Formats: sequence, C-alpha cells, structure tokens
Amino acid sequence: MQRETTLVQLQTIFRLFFRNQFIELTKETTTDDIDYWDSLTHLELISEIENHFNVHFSLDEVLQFKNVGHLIECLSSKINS
Amino acid sequence: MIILPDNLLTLSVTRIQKIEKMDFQKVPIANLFLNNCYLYPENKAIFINKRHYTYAELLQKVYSIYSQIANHDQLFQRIGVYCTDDIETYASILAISLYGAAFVPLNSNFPITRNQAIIEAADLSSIVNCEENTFKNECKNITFFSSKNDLSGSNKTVKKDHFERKVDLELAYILFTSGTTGKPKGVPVSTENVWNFFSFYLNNPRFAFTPNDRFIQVFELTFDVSIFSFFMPLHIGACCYVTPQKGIRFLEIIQILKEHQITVSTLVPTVLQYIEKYIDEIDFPHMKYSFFIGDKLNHSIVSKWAKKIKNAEIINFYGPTEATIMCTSYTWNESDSLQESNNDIVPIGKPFQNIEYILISNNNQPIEKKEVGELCLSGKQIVTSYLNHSNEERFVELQSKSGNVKRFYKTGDLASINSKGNLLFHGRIDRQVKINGHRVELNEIEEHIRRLTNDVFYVGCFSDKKNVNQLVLFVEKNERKIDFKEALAKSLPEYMLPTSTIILHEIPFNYNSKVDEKKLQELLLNNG
Repeated sequence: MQRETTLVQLQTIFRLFFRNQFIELTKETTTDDIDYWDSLTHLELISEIENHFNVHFSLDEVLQFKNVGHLIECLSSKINS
Repeated sequence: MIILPDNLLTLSVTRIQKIEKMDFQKVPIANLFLNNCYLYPENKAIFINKRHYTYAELLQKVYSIYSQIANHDQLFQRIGVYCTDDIETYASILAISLYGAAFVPLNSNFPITRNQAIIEAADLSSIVNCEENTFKNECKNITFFSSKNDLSGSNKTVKKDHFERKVDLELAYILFTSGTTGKPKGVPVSTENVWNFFSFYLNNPRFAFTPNDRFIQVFELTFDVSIFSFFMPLHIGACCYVTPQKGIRFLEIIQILKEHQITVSTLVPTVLQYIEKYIDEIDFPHMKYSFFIGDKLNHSIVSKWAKKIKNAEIINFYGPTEATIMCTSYTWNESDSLQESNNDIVPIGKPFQNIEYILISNNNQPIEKKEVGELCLSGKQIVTSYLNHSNEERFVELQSKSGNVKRFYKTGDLASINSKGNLLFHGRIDRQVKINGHRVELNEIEEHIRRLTNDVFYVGCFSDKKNVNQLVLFVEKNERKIDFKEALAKSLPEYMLPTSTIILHEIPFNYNSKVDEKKLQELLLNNG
C-alpha cells in the first residue's frame, strides 16, 4: 500500500519536473521510457525526490537505481527506518 | 578453441624498439593488437555489454569481418562503421584497420541525414556492421558487410599471416566535427599521425602501463579520444572497459570505475561536475592514471577528486582532432596547479615531443610573451588538410621558433604561456563551444534553426547551476509554436540540440549592439 502511495507521489514529481502531464510511472519505468530523463536531468530529479521525501541517497544507492521499482524500494526502506 | 602463437615477441623492450623502427606510413594501427592476440590470447581484451572477450575471442570476430571485406572483388579505401555500441562495432574497426583502409565511424544515434552527409563527404562505398534496414534503404550504391557471421566455436585457427594488408592507404580514420557552414567537416588522420601520437605513451617510461591494466572507454566512437581509450589497452595486452552510451552515463562510468577497479581513466571534466555531490563517498585506490581532456578542467573540483584517487597521477590533456587526440599535457599537483590556474582553470601544459606551437595575433604575427594569442600547432601529429581540402585558411605557413617556415594549423583556441612555460587556455576566437567534450559550432546550429523559422533567435552556450555548459535557444515570440528540439533532432546529433528553449518578447542587446549574453545568463539562472 505504502509503495503504491510512493509511486503516485513520484509520478507527481516526475510530471512536474519533466513538465509532462502524460507520464505514467510503473515499477519497470527506466530512463529509456521518459523523454529528457538523461545524465543532465537525473541528479536534479534525485534532488527533487530527496527534498520531497526528506531523505538522502548515498552514491551506492543512486548507482543501484536501474528502474523506478528500485527507487521505491530504497525510498520505502528509508521512510520506514 | 586455441590460437597458436606464431610469433612469440617479448613485450617490453621489443615493443619499444618496434615503435621506434616502425615505418609509420605502412603500419595499421591495429598491428600491436594483432601481436597481442598471439602473446596474450587468454587475456581479457574488452568488456562490453556486461561481458568480457579475450584477445582470442575478439580476434575471431575481427577475422570474420576482415575476411568478408578482403574476399570482396572490389578494393575499399575508406569503410564506414555503423557504431551500435557492441562488440561487433569494435571488431569492425580493428578489421578495417588490418585490411589497410581508413575507418569512418557513423553514429547510429545520429539522424540519417547527418550520416548521409558524412557518407557523401567521405565518398564511402561500403559500410560494416549495419543491420538496420531503414538506414540501408536510404543508402544507395553501398556494399554492406555484416559483422554477425561469427567464427567462434569453429575449430579454424586464425593465423597472423591470414591478415594481409589489402589497401595501401595512408589514412587511419576520418572523423567529422561540427562545421560552420551547416555541414560536418571531415578530418582525415593518417597512420603516421596516429603512431606519432601513440609513441608519446609507448616510448615513455613515465607511463608504466602493463597487460594487467584496466582502461575505461567512455567516448562515442565519433569522438577521437575513444581511439586512445580503445587502442591504448589493446597495444599493450590490457583490457578496455566500454561504458554504455545509453542511460545515465556518468553514473555508469562511476559504476565501472568502481566495480572493475579501473587503473587508467580518461574522462571529460564534466563528469566531475556531475558527480561533485558524491565525490566524498568515492575511494579508488586502484587508479594509477586519471586523465582529463575535452574541456576546461577546474582546479577546485580536481582537487577534491585527487583526494579520492590517492595513488593516481592526474594529467590534464589538450588536443583538437586535427592534432590527433592529444598534443599537450599538464601533470597536476595541488600546489603548482593552485598557483598556475587561471580563473580556476588548470593549465594545458607543454606540447608533446613531436609538436611545435606558436601563438599569433589576429594578423598572423607571433605575439610577445605573456600575451594571449591564437594557438597554432605544427608537427607529425597534425593533419595535412581537411577532407576535400575545405577550410584551407586554417592552415598557414609561419616561421617556427627554430627559424624555419612550417605549415601550422590554426586551432582557434586562445592561449598564453605562464612563467613556467605552461600553456593556459583562454577560450575561443570564434563561436565554437564544448558540450560535454564535443566540439559544437554555434553557426552550424543557427543554420539549421534558420531553416525552421523566420523569428529572431539567438543560440548560445551558457552555464547551468552546476557550472556545466548547456546550449540554450532564445527565440522571439515563436508564434508558430515550433518544438525546436524535436525539429532539430531530425538533422542534428543529440549533443547539438538546445537543452532548453526560452521564448522572449525581445532578445536583449548591449551598447555594442551585440546580444547581451550576460543578461541572458541571468535570465536563465533566474528561470531555474
């Protein structure tokens, strides 16, 4: 349940960040699926997520984010700790 | 499958003697790779798309491509490689080199029209490694060679003398850079240029590379530093780790540096700017050499990086494609660099042994010491002309320091010499900018925008909040609501597309009647 809420919140962040109301996030979403999600935008996006959830990701954690699902797993562990 | 060594050369001394004695004009740049396939068949040669290939495995792939080209009735002087970020792409380059032709990289992510312009300018009649039918259908009168017919698994032994140089062309490769006229500009680099460049490393005891080294290759193959990152490890029996071109590139780079304990890294400085937030969490004690090239290197950030690669020598290189990859170097250390950096920009150092330079004023006259002038280069690494002899004005006869008149290449880069004899970079004399290491002529982008709109516009290179260069397009009104990024993507590669487009009522001008870049920069930062 909590993971689904996180996904919804992430979707709002993504839509605002990429100025695209049509983004539909799933756990499988990767950089290939969203226009302009690239090296230039990635760290800013991570910062937006950190600010929103009031968490900090380490480099090792950021390196593990291969899709939105990994991001949610990592966020959930931080929110619950 | 075992490949029998048929030429047991011992490395070290023999290799160095070989380079010195080599007739540079006749030796393909893949020749040392071929030797190493018999010296170190079981060594790892390349890591790409999550797997290793040994020298023996790579040689099989190279031979299957080579034999198709060599068995064709026609001889090919220049051969295109459709670069698709896979083992076959790298094997194709090696095969073309051993065949004796010049390879011409075609980036599969580039728009078809741009690749067609390259095919036409380079006068290509054959392309290797293209499996894309849409691309093939657009190319008329081209012979396509597949790279997928793999001999791996067969018992056929590939012997060294199976590779025979079929073409006696002196060119090693042709690369295309951004051109001011709206079309890419070809730089034909000879095998002599390339071997002179590599002799800086191969004949230099300061670079203690060994077959156990692990190099990283982060560059697109249309960017010449890739030739160093790919061929240098293969020259010495070491392994080249290729980072994927897709995804979050700088994170992939950090992942590979860490996971594979890379010992020799060559990066553009922007990588450090992207990862600055995480530098404190990095620790790479295995790194022996950390090279930078392609853009301005900031002292303050490299100072943080140095603390995380305690055992590495850091060198800042400089080199336009016309001077074959790299031609000056500056060995970084905290105290000297702090003292010598100009506006936090680390010097580009002193020229390689084969390079002579001169600084000139805008009327082609040598300038006095300490003044800023245009950097001109001469020597065995400098190409003799552009493809089809375009832009001849960039090559001039000048009196060198030794008193002889020599042909120099005018780089368009402004430089000065400091009291220690090191060159300092001061920017460009024209509208060429660097985007993530890529050379971009703003005039070329403008030419393409003009085809889309009659509105007044300005395209420039501005710093974002991380101080990274970005291309930004400012357009007045844009009443037709053109999506410029999407429209330009049909004819320009991704690195030449504006990161953002800002619509203004009026583009600001300063009192010199020039576009007020300072105001635009402020506008951009305030805009977020």
